[in-house]
Amino acid sequence: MMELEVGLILILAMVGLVLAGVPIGLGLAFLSFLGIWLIRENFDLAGRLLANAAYAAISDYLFATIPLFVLMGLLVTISGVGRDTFDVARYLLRRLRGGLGMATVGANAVFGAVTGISIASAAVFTKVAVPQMLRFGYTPRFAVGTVAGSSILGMLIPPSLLMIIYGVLAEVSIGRLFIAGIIPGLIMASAFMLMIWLMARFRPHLVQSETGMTAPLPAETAGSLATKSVPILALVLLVLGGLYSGFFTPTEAGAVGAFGALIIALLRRQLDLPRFWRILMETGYVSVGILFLLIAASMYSRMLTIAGIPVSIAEMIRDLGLGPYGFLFVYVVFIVLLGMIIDSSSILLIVTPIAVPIATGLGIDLIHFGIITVIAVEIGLLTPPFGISAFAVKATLDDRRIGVETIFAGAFPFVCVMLAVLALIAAFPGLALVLSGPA
Amino acid sequence: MSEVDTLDEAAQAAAARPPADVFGRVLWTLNAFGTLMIAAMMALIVADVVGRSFLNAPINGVAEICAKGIVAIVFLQLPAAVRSDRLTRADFLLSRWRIRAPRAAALLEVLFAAVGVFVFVVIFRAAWPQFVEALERAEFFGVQGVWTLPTWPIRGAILLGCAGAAAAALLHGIAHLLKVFRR
Repeated sequence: MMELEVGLILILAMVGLVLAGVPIGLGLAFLSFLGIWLIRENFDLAGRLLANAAYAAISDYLFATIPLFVLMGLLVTISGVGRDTFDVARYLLRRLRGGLGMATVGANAVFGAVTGISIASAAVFTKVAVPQMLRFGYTPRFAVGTVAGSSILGMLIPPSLLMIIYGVLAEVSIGRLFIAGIIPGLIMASAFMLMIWLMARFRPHLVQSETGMTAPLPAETAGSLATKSVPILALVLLVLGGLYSGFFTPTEAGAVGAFGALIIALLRRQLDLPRFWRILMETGYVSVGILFLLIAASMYSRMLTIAGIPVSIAEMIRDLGLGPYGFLFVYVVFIVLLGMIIDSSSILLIVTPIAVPIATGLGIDLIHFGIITVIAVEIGLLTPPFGISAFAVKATLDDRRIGVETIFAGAFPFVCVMLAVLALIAAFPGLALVLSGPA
Repeated sequence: MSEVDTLDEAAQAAAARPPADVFGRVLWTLNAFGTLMIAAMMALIVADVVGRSFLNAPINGVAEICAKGIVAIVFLQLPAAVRSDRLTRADFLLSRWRIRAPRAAALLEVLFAAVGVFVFVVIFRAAWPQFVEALERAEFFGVQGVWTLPTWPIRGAILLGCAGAAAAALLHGIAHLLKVFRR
């Protein structure tokens, strides 16, 4: 019992420290050390476990995916393919009401297949799509909300940093998780488009303040459309095709994808040596943040296991008689609440080691569970007060009149759609598992 | 909200340049070395894929080298990340306290810096004997007789990273401590 109490107190202390603003990796490492020290009453042993985790926790080919996909994402971000994708989507959807909004969603879905970070998508489309929507009379709230809302497709449609982190923590194949994200990602994108169409049809004043104003036909020819869509489609095909056929491991897909993005950026003359260096350094900063979190998370889950937390929480849940759906409901509510205050990768680190044994005990497939987890975590990107996608839009937006509250308000319909799609996917595991197969 | 800073090109450019002070320069050099390793890793994997698929000439040991290399990369880059306050944190409460109660916020920062120093010193102390042992016993990884590489550079990178990160956290703590007592 003693172990369990120490463990539970440390989880509470963790939440307190995280709220107060401790760097999350440091907080996790520190409390894991305290926990093991208190339970095993051995200072040196606790230190050795930390040092072993430092050496072994991320020493796997798999973890090389993280810097590689970050690099790929940053390279496609500067290469300007985001703008091209938007131009093509805009042309294809030109006749529909709310077409620019739907084009933003569609372009995000395609762009999501070459980037694994949502804030990258949010930044690109804030620059590309918001000015266009504002120029054609769309309301600011709708414009910024659509960009923030559809940016979450970046981490649902593979590759996805969140899936990599979940896969590592839950010990599930990352390649299969990626494949499992394809159909839910497409459903999510279609549901977003449908919602925009319905809004534009039945509540047009929420979408366009000056009705009847349609965007003039963009001057596109077959040739210009082809030049704009071929590079990104080739990259999508290379990465997803390689993964799906099993020709690439996720790490190889990351390396080849980053290399492909490098070539595209060079061909489009968007890259010189200082810029490439800047992007490489930035890749380092972003990935060291994630990888250090993963090292700390392995210390933390070690401590939890020593304290017997996962087993006893699993027993507790079983005694409550919740059943799989009851558990999923409580779990999603909990993650959405956490998502309001802490960032997405940290939620995964804190929650997954506890939740995965419970899900296994209830007979939930871990790949299906992973997709549910990723969507639930992504809702946190859009909810105040700490919604990183909304802040990313705000930071990129060159318009002081649009506040972050407007972005949260505009993204709210997207949150509702996400909850509906989440319920759909929870009810029909086949949507996630049909391509990937069970875990 | 440090993640959002990464969107700003000027901030990125500033972070990519070596800083003016000596300590900052040392950390920047370690960081730059880790950065080059990321690019090298990409090139190595692409070369392996191309060699394997088209030339029937796979490169031995790419997976193992990347697996060990990623550990070195993280620890080489950790000190610079600590120094520039780029470790992931939820600072939405803290950023409010900074405005309303700057001293209390600074005191919290001192506390967090102390946690950082403690964690990195503990890891350093426990990793030191492992490094010495790896060096003395010539611990290696790879396939014996085909290719082997020593593990001490990786273990050494962990030591270097923890020492640098502890020093960076210490400097952070001192800077914030001065803020607490400044009139």
